[in-house]
Amino acid sequence: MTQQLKNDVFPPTMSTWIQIRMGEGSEGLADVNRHIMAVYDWPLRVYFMGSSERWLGEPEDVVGGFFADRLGRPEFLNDWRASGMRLRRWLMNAFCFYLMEVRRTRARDRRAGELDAEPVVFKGSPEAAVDRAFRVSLVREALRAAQESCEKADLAQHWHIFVSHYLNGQDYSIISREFRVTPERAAVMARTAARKFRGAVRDLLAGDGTPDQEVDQEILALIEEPTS
Amino acid sequence: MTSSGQTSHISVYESIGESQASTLLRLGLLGPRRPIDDLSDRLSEPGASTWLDGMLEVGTTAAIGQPRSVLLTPGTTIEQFIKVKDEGKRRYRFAETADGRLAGLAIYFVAIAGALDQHRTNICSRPIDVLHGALIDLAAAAPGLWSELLTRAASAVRSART
Repeated sequence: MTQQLKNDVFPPTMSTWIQIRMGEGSEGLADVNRHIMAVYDWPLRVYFMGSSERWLGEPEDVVGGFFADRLGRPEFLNDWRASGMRLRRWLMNAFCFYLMEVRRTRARDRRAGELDAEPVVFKGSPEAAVDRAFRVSLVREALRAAQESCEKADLAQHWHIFVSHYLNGQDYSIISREFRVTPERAAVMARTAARKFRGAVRDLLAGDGTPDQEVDQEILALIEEPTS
Repeated sequence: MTSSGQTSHISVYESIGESQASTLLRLGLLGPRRPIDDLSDRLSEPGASTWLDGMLEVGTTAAIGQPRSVLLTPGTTIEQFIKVKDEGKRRYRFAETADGRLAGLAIYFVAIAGALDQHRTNICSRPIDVLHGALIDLAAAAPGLWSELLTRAASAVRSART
């Protein structure tokens, strides 16, 4: 998000932020695109690596090519907003079409036109694979956003304690000695940072197109998706 | 934090796998709302300290003395804390607005916290673990001195008299 919006007392939700930035010309669109690439690059790479089109190239190149092609089209995100779909599904569908386009181009170059009509095949459920990758990508991005938010609010130590407890599994009695605070103070500081993390998770899901009242359901659905 | 500190965290994030992501994602759940969740949200809003001061300026706390002194500095008796706590309960039950109910709940908890902090005495009947968790949750959201009071109270609650 832009500095100005981040510093607002009541910052907009991610979906509102996307809408606002999309209306602010090329600079705003570039911001939105950066956000989309940060969150959705990994799920699309996972999709690509499990698809029958893996031969088309290196994942980072193919996914990068997709973003450059589709996010460069002014109507692409407006069409997504009008669709009511989750952004990860919209991107996955668009990516599937993109792979077929790339394949057609390659086939034409090699005069091997018979490949044109073949659908993209995925081993297992592509939706489930993309959701599992999205779960990881979402958490990583939420951690980055919450860390940044804590640092801007002079809560860097709170964030360190959050990481020690929730990521590294350290007990508050140990953390309290390291940070020279009481165990209760350590728990309070971690929970303050956890509130920032929770806000970031919910914001990113809103940006994916989840209505506010459905965010808990969406989180549970993502959690319940079995690990691969 | 230094930029190198930030970088080291980010490298930790890159090592997060599907299982740990699920565990962390649970932190994003709001779940069934408890009254103290609404109070935590209110206390984390800008201006919460002024809001709470304003709510304490009328009623029992103000009748005892300067509200911040009553709750934050030694000299208030157990009986006075109980009166403030009971007023918080009344305001929570009978307030006509959501904000008024939250103010009642805030007064109820800061009175309990004050008694724990000043007298190492628990003046409520909530189970210790529930009270400890509530004080930590509220302290995580509350501003400045109120957060410190609630944290000290959480530290005192397990060894407190009843």
